Amino acid sequence: MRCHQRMKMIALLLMLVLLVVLSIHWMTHYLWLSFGVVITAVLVFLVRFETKVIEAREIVLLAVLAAIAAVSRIPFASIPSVQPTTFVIMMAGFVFGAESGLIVGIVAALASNMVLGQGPWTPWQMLAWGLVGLTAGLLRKRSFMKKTWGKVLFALAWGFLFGWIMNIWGLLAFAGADGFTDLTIFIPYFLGSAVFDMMHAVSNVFFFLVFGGLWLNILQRFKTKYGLLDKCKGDSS
Amino acid sequence: MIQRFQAFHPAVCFFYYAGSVTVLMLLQHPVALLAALLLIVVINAVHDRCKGLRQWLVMIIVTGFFLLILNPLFNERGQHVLFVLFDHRITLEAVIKGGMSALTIIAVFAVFVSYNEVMTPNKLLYLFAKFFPQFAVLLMLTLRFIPLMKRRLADISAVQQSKGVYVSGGNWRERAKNGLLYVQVLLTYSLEEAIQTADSMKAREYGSSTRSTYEHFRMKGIDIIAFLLLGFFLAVSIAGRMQGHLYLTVYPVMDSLTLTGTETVYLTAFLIYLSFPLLAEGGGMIRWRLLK
Amino acid sequence: MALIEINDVTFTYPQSSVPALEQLSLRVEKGQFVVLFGPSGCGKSTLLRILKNEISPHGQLSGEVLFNGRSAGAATDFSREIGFVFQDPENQVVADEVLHELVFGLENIGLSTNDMRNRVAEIVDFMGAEPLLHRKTHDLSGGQKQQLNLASVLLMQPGVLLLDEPTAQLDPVSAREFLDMLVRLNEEFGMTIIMAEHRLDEVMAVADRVVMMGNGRVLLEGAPSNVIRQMRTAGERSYIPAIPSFYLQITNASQEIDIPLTVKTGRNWLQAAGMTITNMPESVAVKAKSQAKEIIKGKNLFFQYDTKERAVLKELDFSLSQGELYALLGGNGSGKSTLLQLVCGLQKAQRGKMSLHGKPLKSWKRQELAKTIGYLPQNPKLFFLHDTVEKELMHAVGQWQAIGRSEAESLLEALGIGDLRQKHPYDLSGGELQKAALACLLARKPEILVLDEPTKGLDPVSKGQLAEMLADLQQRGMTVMMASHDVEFVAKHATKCGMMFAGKITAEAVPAAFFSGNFFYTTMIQRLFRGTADNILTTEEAVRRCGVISE
Repeated sequence: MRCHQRMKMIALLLMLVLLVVLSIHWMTHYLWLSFGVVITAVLVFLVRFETKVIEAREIVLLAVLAAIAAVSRIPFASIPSVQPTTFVIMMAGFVFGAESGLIVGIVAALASNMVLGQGPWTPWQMLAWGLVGLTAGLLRKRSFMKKTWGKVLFALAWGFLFGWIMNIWGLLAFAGADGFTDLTIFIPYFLGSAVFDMMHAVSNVFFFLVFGGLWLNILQRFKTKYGLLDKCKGDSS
Repeated sequence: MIQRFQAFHPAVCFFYYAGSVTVLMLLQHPVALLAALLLIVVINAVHDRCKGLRQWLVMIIVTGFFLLILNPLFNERGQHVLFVLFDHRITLEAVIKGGMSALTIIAVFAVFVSYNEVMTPNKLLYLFAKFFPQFAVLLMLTLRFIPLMKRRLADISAVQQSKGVYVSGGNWRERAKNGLLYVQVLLTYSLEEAIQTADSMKAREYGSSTRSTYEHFRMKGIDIIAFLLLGFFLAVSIAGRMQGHLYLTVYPVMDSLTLTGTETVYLTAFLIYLSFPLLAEGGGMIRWRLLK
Repeated sequence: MALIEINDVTFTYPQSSVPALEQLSLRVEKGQFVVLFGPSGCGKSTLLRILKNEISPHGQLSGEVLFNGRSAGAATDFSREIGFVFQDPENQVVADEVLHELVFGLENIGLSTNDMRNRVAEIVDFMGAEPLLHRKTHDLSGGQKQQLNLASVLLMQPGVLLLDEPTAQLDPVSAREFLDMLVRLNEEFGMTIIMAEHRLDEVMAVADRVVMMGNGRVLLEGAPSNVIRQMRTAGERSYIPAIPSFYLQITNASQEIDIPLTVKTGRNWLQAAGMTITNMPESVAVKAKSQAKEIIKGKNLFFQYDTKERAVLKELDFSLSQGELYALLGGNGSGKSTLLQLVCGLQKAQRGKMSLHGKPLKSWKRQELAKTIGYLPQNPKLFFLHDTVEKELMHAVGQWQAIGRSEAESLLEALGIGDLRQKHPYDLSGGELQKAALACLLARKPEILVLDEPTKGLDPVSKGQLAEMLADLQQRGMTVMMASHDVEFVAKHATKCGMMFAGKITAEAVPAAFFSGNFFYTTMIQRLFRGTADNILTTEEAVRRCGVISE
């Protein structure tokens, strides 16, 4: 089994090398290269995920969080560009750590696109939401994240970062094969999305301030209830 | 209908779509892109009379239009000035560049429309299960939970409305707050219930030994032939592109739009690759006729 | 040697001071059909879980559990021989397609695809489930889901089947089908079955042994007839099913003949005893009620969730009068829940008129409507936003300003849940949860209560308490409308019944008239007396009209 996983990892690394070689050949094919890199990165993480033994309770917990993140936009259908998906994934990262946050983000994006229809945006959404969960998990122990302003800044930043990541592939498609001829072209693009990004960021902060503490408590309670705190107890029965 | 194509092993279908998208992103020639786009539209038409495509039409047109006009508006480079707008030179080169971006994106969208029809969640799940069994279980659970969560949200919304907690009407703050309250009930309730899901998995020996995968699809001889054919034509297309064909140089001096002889060969190879679903269907029809 | 032997088992959960099981001993022979029953929290589930290694709870366990004479710890391979079916049909499903669900367990034990195919083919054939194979699990009914759960456990080829209230969440028809399947498994394949269950009417007739539990101990056990006799002496009457209960009340318990458990044996006994039935004038109370004024009136209602789907309600006329306890009956998907939501203004009819107090429902303000009508959904857990009962109640008090804090306090006491105020709603039992939700509803002082399946999953004791509460509220002028599958409950407590079928109310009458016309959809006692006295519905009435036999 182990050896199997190593093979996959090697295959993926080869893929990465191939990508680099090909992209040297086509210096400026950013679009193609970026898709390749994003997908390979996700696959590398999935191979890593396979090497861990994940118990029934943990996997169910991750699935519940991902599914909730995916459907949580429904009650907000009447408020444009306000959806708590990012908030839910952030919370998952805060309580269950970087890797869980990452996987919840990836699965939420992938699964909701499997239901609604895939598009070229799928890998980018997986990346963006995955990174939301990942960074939430990585930064949770930092001292500034213990303070409210730290968290608010974090939630605010991700509102914009998310939008920017989702803009990348459109921009690259736009740049075409010759790369960026003129950088001023970005301005209308980013201005156009800034309104939506702002809404996203503000709602993130709002959810954080009103519900953040409560949700942390709820998830913490379940973390204990699911027995995810004391890992070594599994063999006590 | 492209039933024959849909009946191929999911790996074949996935390979076909991945290859299509790759080459479409690499092509930089208006003629080649246009030909490819037309072919993809035909495939969509044969499959469901463009029903799927029509659902995405607005988005496709808006994105395409956006890409088409934005480049000439911001990019003045080029020798062939079409006209001058408010002191701004609109050049043929810029229009062609913008047009190629638009065609690429439209074609990629159209390929995805077909992909979504052919690659059902089940097929994708099966492919994941082959390579990432544990992740596949997680994905399967999530896909199973999504409709369940939707129904629960509807129930929650009914009960909470009966208590006077609404997400419609009222100010932005109130609505957003109540909306997340719904999600919070969903979270607490679902996490509570999901312990039973985990127990039911454990009661069915989940994690007790190495999992096997039920082969919902079997790789048959015809799938391998399809792989070889697709692989060949894809390799030819990419090789052609690597040698610099099917690439229109725009700056500093724009090449002629007509295709050279070698380019026509490579383009034909890619078009054969793209029309694989049609060829499979047509071939099947002919065989069926002959047998009759 | 018994197949399963439990000797002196005591089990305590980590955060609890009271043991969930206390010096419990039980033996189960191979091929037996054993039914466990008792009030919620009596330890049935804990007992079942202790028998299945993979899901046995953490906590302190003493005593021994033996399988074929070997201790459970040493016999880990025996655990594979045990299949487990849980209460909630929904929560056990892990896959989005039926076939994926069926093979899930087989994949877990690493079978090859060919072996899986053979096993699936066999079970699908046995259960006649072929048309369902490629359906989405989400689209199945509750009954179908539970059958699917049973099938995916059976695929693992267990020798022993443990079931934790598997029919509690099902409607009577699906419950019956499920039970029939268990009987087949027991009779045709000799499968050992241990099942916890509340609804005893049907299982008493098929079980080899029944075990009554209370406070973590075995109170009574033995053959069904014997246990029923002992229950009567022990004063545990609420658990005795209708027909044996009638029998015991009317004869001297000392008689040695077998207690009739089914309609068939009951009728034989009635005939042999030569029972005479006194006629009774029609109840006067009912006539008086029918004069009461109409509160809600619906005319020509039409409703569909989606223009592409079939209509859920069509050309439906309906009215609810002051002080009524109106019960809607009908199969799954007949539109009962939808009509309730329409009454509460939670869904709006696409056509037709609905009015409350003569004023169209549409022109009521949302808050006023919510204040007038209290709605309790099938799943009361979704009602709670706060993490303790008290917070939820006090929020309702603050929101509606209908009663004061002290009144709210006494409401909790009156409902008998005063000591649960600091608990998280999800930690309450089904009956307690319902009372807590009712308390919050009553804090609004509504005129009308709308209840969706209020008896679902309740044990007989809680059901009795619910009936008392409803009767009490009705006395004080409350109008109640409920949807229910529980024929026995409705026959006893409703003042008016409506039958829903294909989006319409097809029959409507007072219970006696309503049920006397029905053939399948009626109570055990009515089935017993059909042909002789069609309008006897409940045990109480049967006893009143038959008089005691003393041979």
